[in-house]
Amino acid sequence: MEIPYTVEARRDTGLNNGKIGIWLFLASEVMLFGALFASYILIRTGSSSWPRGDTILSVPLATFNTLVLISSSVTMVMAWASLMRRKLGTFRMYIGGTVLLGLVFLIVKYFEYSDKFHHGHFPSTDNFYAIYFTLTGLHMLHVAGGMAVNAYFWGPGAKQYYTNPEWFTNRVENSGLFWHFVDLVWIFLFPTLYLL
Amino acid sequence: MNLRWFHALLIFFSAAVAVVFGLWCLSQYRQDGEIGSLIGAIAAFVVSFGLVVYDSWFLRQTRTLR
Repeated sequence: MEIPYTVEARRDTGLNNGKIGIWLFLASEVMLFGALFASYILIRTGSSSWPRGDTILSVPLATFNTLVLISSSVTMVMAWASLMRRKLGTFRMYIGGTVLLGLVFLIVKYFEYSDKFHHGHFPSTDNFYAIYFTLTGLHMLHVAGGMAVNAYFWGPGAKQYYTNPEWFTNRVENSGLFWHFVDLVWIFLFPTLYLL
Repeated sequence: MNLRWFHALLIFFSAAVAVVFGLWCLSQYRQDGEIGSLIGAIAAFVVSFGLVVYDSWFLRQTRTLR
């Protein structure tokens, strides 16, 4: 039996199954990160002293990572646009670039974390590091998850293109929506944690 | 909202953050007077402008992708 609404939109919602699923998931993610941001604001405003992020964190590394993630959003949307124009080879190039840029982001974060641990700064050190490691650590997990999905579409998952290109394109778009959400979270994390 | 509009939204927020970063660089320049901070501020404002230009270009180029 064939699953309905994998490609065409439902008449009542105007969306296909995957699109509804990813938006519901992203709504839950907004609640997760929203709660953490709210915790950060409450802890910071309730604290008698709070360090400025730019005095103890590496702003140049974070700026570089911001540029990396913005670039990865461009390659992600180009990957989807390539599929819309039925160019699988171009899609593979762009989705591979997205995965590589995600990897660059994680490598930079590895060096940033290593430096903090080397200097004896852990989540248990104080409230600032607790919220810093929680927010950035959770964000890194999301980057890794997005990379895994995109790598799957670059590799074995691309087989679906030959049997059902429309469905495959929809799946890549949903992955792109998640990737853009992860980028958007970083766009808020960067000034909040590093600059203020 | 499809990926096209979400991308446009992300780039818009990125341009806004570039302005915030530029202002932060300017405040650093006022404090320490280092030329690197001033260059950083100018670069950030240029990047912000570039992102806005890219955003409008992207929306025009992908008008047929829905």
